[in-house]
Amino acid sequence: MADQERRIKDAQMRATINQKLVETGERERLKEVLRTKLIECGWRDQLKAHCKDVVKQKGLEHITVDELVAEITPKGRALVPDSVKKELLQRIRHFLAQQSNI
Amino acid sequence: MSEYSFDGSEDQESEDCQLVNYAPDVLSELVDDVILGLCFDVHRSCKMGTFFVDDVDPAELKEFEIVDQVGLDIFGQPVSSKKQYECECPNCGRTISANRFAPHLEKCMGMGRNSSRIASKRLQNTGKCESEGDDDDDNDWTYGEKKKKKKSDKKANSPRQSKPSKSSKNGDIPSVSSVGSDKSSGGYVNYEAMSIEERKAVLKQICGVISEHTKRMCTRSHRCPQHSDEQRRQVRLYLLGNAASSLLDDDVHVDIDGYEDSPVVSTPAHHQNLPKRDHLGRFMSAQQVAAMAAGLPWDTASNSSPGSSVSSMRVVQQWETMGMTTGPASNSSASASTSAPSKKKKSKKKEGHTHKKSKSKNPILQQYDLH
Repeated sequence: MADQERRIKDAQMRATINQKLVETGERERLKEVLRTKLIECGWRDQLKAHCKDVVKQKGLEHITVDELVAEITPKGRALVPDSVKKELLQRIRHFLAQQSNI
Repeated sequence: MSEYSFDGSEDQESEDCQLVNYAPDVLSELVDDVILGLCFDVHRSCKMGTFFVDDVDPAELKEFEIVDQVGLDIFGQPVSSKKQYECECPNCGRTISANRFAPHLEKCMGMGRNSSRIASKRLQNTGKCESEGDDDDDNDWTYGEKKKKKKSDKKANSPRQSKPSKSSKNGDIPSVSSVGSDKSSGGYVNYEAMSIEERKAVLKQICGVISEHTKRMCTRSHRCPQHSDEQRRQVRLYLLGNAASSLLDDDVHVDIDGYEDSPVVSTPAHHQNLPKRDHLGRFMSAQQVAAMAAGLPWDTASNSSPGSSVSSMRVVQQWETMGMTTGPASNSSASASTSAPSKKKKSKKKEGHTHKKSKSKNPILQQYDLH
């Protein structure tokens, strides 16, 4: 019972946080910051090189977006530098702290 | 866990804890978003064919490296003020620099004013026909009087005038004395009033094909492109009868068609259908012609069957009705008609030729074929 209640509340919280992020435009801002940071630190180039391997392996004509996402996402997540992660987490927490009135 | 305790109160702390607990989720969502964006980009460039454009070998990079040196352009080639372009002449195959190409082509192909003279002179010298000045008529073989006069003025000034060109002048003199038409002063050669010898002299120098429209002779050289060798040959056969053989010996070709006045009226279609090159004059060797000429006297005496004599009479009559000088013309035509059998004996090619001609609805030639 408690688990179920907790899960519902969890989903609600996610929804409200997401809504707040979008409403305030913070999500776009965070995303932009993340992208620039990742480009700066060479994450994008690394991942693109990996993409090339994947495309060569699968064939240029037969590659689909789903395949690419499935191949790339794990590596992409792993490759994000800790410094970027920390900075972003800091920003997110700061935002969430501001939204304490929820 | 100390970081979660931003605010003081217990209630708020738990809530903040919960809120802040979602931070990693938000981050991973954002990262996934960026990755998805990258995937879209990569997929798009794959489908557009631009994905592998920017990866280059180091070797290729070296090869196309931009050169930055004084005196060289970025491709590493020495900078010269003007680059010499060379063209290959399609005629002689030599390579000529571009700025000399046009003059060379003019000479090489035998076109243009001077070169055509040079080239034709060269050709005529080899062909033993020593007529000069006729090549000046390249442009005015048609019935324009003005042009002709202009040309003759030029001729008077040119140094060529001083050359002993008796033969070319010969051709023009009879034309002045002609009675036939009022426009007789220009390029018109009054062939009707001329004797066989005069005709021969004229035809030795000019193309002589008689125009259907103006009833004039073409006064250009033997190689004039407006008329075929066949036409020239037939004109000579027509005007000279058998005496033409001496001209044919010189690789000169005659035209019988293309003259309206004569009983030999040729249709334009027939004109065009004539084959251009393979003709009697070409194939008969000088030997054969000589043999023909030698065989003539006794051929007329011994070989003339009743049929041939009748036909030769007909020929003579026709030549008379055409206003030709009867004496030599009749002689020559008679001998021409009688010479046919001997020709047949001599060469098969000649035979084939007469057969070809018999199809051409030409009365005189059909008579030839009778023999």
